[in-house]
Amino acid sequence: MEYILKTEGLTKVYAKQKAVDDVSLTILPGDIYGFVGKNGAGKTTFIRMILGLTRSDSGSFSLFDGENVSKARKRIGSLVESPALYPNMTAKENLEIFCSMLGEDKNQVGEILEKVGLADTGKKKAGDFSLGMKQRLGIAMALVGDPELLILDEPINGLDPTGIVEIRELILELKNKHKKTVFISSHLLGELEKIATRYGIIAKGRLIEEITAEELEKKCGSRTSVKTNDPKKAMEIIKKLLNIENVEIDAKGTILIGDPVKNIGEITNELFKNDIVVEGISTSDSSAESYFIKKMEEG
Amino acid sequence: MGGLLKADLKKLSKSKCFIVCLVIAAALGAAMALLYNYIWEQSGKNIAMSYALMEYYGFSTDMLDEALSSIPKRNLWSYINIFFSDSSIWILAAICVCTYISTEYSAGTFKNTIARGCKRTNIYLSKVIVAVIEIMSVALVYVGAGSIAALFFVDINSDFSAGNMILMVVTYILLMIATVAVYMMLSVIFRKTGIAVAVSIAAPLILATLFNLVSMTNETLANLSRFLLMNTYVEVESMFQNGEGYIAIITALAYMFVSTVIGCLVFNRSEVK
Repeated sequence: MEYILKTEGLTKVYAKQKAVDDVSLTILPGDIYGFVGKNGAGKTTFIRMILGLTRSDSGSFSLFDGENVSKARKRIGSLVESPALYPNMTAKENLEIFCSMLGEDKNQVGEILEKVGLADTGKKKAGDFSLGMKQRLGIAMALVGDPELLILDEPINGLDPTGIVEIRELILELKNKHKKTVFISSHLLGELEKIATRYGIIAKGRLIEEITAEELEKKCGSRTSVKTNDPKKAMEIIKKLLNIENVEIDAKGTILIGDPVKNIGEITNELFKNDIVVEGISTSDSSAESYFIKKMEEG
Repeated sequence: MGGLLKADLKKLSKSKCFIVCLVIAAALGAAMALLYNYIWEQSGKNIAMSYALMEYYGFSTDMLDEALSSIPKRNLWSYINIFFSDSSIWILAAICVCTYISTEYSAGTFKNTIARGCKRTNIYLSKVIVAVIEIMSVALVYVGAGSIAALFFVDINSDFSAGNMILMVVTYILLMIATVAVYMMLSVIFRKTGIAVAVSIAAPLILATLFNLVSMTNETLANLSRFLLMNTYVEVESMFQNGEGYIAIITALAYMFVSTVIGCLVFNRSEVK
């Protein structure tokens, strides 16, 4: 399969304000796609258009290599905003009702409840669940029918730390063991960083950037800064020594090495051999979080 | 669609509102039977007193005789007719239907099925069918409880035509389905329980009252007022007596069709939270 979801120029306007503005993105099979943006950036509106809950004003999207949209949606499981549950029914009954609606086998209910950690809720009604339990039940409903694409809008909202870890591990298991594709929107960038393979950054309705996890790592992994008395000469020496190109000089004349450096001593020795005075050398970690925040603010 | 229907029926069976409405319908039916029995007895006493007075003062009782002959005979079928045309059951029906739909809107559960590719038309029609089943159950309990209570006051041997009775029952059922279709349409337009119930109850009554007032001065409007849903309920028996029962049937079918189409269109186009 070439793609799971492809959108072209998808736009939604509310009262002359573009909630989603010309968004074109692609989700590939096996991706864990992290959709990142501030509150009100347009993440949920985008998801709602894909799921048919809101009509787009322009643009288009296609699912599973152009399959008929109604049929394709049967292969998608989703959790959009808050979970929609029947409060007067138990977790098991909620899932069984949902299986009935979709014409799915009810035998999968027990296994799904085990996966999300709700197997022991017994006769407790969903209306009496805590926020975290409701969220888990919402994820459980998304898993009904073994969908190929999971669209999860803020899935770890309200979960305790243990719950967050469990859901993260579940998502990784779904991707690695069951070959699912997952599209997650989340504010918790630290969590996304641990699982996402690709990212889409959205701000004010516009898609600012799509980037893979590897590219993100390169852009904001460890950086080594070197201060010398001759930055230009020093930069050429470092490039030749380490056989890399990702080296630049900033406005203050400090050499910035973008790739990870295993042996800083090697650099200082080589510079010394070439009569360059090293005035200072340091390593810092730039996190994905700061990268995303910077991008969102630029957008 | 089979899956949707099965799930909706299961939800109905678990609905507290539905169970409460059934209990209220039973109590209401019995209470209505007692009330109408009391009204009939009082009317009988008033007529007897009027007769006595007129005879005492030497007036002719021909007018009274004529008026008496137009009053329906007090039998079980008269009670059943009254139950169907009484507005209290329709207030209960409005509460049932509007709560049923508005709860889904407020819980956001429509998005579960729409997001999974279920066609909105199928979702809507499934809800209409289950709402019809819900209201027919409530009406059955209401009429049943009322009829059982009425048996204490009337003789079940009555001199009405069984064929006509069956046709009238079928007509009442069609009118019920039409009313449910109208309530469903109003529920998807207004969405919130309170507003939907208020409009469902008030709008037909206000419309019928206004129409009836205006039609006193206009014959065309007077003829058209028979096609208002609430008026049709009241006039079913007289329509069948005059050989115009088909008007009630056509009215029911028209309301059913138009309301379902409008409701479907609104639901198809609306944003779902």
